[in-house]
Amino acid sequence: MSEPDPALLNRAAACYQRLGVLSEAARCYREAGSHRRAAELHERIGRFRDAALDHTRADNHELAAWLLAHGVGDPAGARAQLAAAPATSPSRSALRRRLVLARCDAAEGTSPRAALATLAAVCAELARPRTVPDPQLESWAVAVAESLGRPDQVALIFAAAVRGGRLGAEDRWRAWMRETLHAELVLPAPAAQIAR
Amino acid sequence: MPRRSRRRGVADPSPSTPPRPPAGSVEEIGVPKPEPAPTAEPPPVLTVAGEFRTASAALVFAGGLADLGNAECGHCAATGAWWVATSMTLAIARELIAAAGGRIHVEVDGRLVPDRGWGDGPPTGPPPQDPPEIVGVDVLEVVRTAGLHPHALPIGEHVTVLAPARRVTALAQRALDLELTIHTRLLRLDPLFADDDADPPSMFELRLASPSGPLPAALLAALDRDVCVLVCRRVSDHLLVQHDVASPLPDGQLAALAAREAGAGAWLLADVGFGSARLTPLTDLRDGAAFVRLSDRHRLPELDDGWARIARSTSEPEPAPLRLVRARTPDAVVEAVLLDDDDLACLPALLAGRPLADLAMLATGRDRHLMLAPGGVLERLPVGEPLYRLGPGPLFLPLGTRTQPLLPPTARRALFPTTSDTALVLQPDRIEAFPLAHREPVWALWAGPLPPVDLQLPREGRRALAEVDAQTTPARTAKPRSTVARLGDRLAERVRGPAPDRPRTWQNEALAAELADDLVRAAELCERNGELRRAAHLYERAAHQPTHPPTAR
Repeated sequence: MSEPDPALLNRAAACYQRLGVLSEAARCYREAGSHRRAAELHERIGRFRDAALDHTRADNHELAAWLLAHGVGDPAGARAQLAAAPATSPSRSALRRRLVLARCDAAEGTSPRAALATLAAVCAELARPRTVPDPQLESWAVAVAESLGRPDQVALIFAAAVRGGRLGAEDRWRAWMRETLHAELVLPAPAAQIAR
Repeated sequence: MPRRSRRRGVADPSPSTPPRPPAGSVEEIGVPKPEPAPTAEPPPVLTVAGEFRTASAALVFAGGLADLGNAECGHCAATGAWWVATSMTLAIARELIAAAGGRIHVEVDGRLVPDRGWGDGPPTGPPPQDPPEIVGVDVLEVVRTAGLHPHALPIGEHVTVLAPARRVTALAQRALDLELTIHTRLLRLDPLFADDDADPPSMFELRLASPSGPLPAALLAALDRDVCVLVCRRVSDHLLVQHDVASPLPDGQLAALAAREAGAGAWLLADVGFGSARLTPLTDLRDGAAFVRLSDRHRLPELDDGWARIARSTSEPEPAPLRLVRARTPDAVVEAVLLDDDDLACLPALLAGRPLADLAMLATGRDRHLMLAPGGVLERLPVGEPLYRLGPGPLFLPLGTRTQPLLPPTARRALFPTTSDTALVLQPDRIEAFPLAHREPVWALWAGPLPPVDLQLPREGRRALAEVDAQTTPARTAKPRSTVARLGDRLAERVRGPAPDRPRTWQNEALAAELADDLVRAAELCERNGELRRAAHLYERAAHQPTHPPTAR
């Protein structure tokens, strides 16, 4: 049997996506080999295990492991995913792996000591100015802190992101305060404004 | 030759402790260097002999030896002791002989000296004044003297039975009743320990095996009660031992001994109820089912006439007719609907006002009709029989069915030469063909003729048009046609059929492209006109089309 034409499958997926039938679109993207787009659509419709499978096929093992740990609630699968992934050298990737393992610890109810150390490392990374922002680092850390039941850690993460000048960090912190603590965020004015 | 131990004070060139460095040197206050471990010399191998009060104890010691061929057995008539001599290290010999309850002796200068109980070397004391007189005996003699002791083993899947000829048929019948496999052969039983027997008896050996788990315990119990048969376990091809007893010499050692001594035959070891023997096969093994006898009424017939007739009737295998069978078609979608007249009458009520009415086409037949749509109907209607497209071309099958046998596309193309103008629908008992050249939009079913158009022109305009018409149109000279002639024109038109030039709509173009297997063009037409679901379905079908050339991304 001949291989299906991926270009035509991508066009079919685009039609399904415009129509709003995301499951069919994801199926066509997966068959066409467009695994990142398939993973994105599967994640949007809440099929986290399928999304993790697509991320694995796209060699995005950390994201797959995160979805298994956080979306599916399968820490054993997430650990296996990380173990099967080839080791990557950048420190940011190592931080993401630590966050996945911290989320696994939180899901398994083990001691939060290692997870708190990981959150402290994330805070230090977020507070460093003039670094290329990692869009998932902050959200993953917030998710880990929430799964630990530690709103103080969430506040520390947002504070580090604000100190590091992350775009929109203050707004995200404010929205989280309203939604979770039902309180308004009051931040001190920057030092430059006080001097003026 | 035994080596002397270092404990005896013999000078040893390798010191056990490192030499002390000179006093006050740096090495003395520093961390001492690890010394390489002295190489341990293997303990010497000596000729040792065990003295045992019984033959059974001697065999227990002999059973612990790796190779019985290196051991020699002896017997002292004065003390009644049994001796086993072999070569091994003193430490191991002490353990094995002590475990068997014997006394250890070590050979020193060709004489056996009692062991002193410590050290790796032979004793150094004076030899005994009155050495025992030991006569060498065969291992088999020791085995004979030791006898057999009860030994319970779990019931296995194999057992060997020695039985006289008059019991073989009954035993074979019973074994076959119990669905056991049975093989038999005739054996001659010679004395094992004596030299010859003038008239050795012969018995049948029956090997019973259970293909499904252990043998029935009730069968073994019944055989045990029978004094004319002996139940044995087959230790090896050269050794049979009564099934509930064992020799002090382990089975492995006995089997090796029998393999060495028995030649082409085998040994049988059994207790006083039966006795031991040397077995010599007289016949080959054969299936025990041969002992099941039939009466003379079961004669072999000649070749049945039916076979000959069948063989003559067909010289080549006949291909199976193509059938339609039920099958799961989970990935198939409704691409067309087969309707009858009653279904057709329901269509206006079902489709009027629905988007499908804008797309669906109807190919009407004598009493069956086919509804199609570009990209497929894609809906389950409450009327008609839903069809999916098997292809190539407009070849349709009812949902939930497939062809038997399965046909590849090339075979389908050869068997069903469809064109874009004729759709084929496979039914269990027939193939229905629908000409598609005369298809009509489905809305034509309920959109009847319009009332006459009353053109409301102003008077001046009508006059001007009449003048122009009179100036440009030549005068009519032909007589008006009669009513009969007009009726003939209608009949001729009915026979010819309606004009095939349909209105040029995108729906028609898309369906024509789809019927011509130009699925990409049909999909593009659907996509351009907002029918995204049909477009997606057509793109998918095009992607899986086997003959479609790959498109550049």
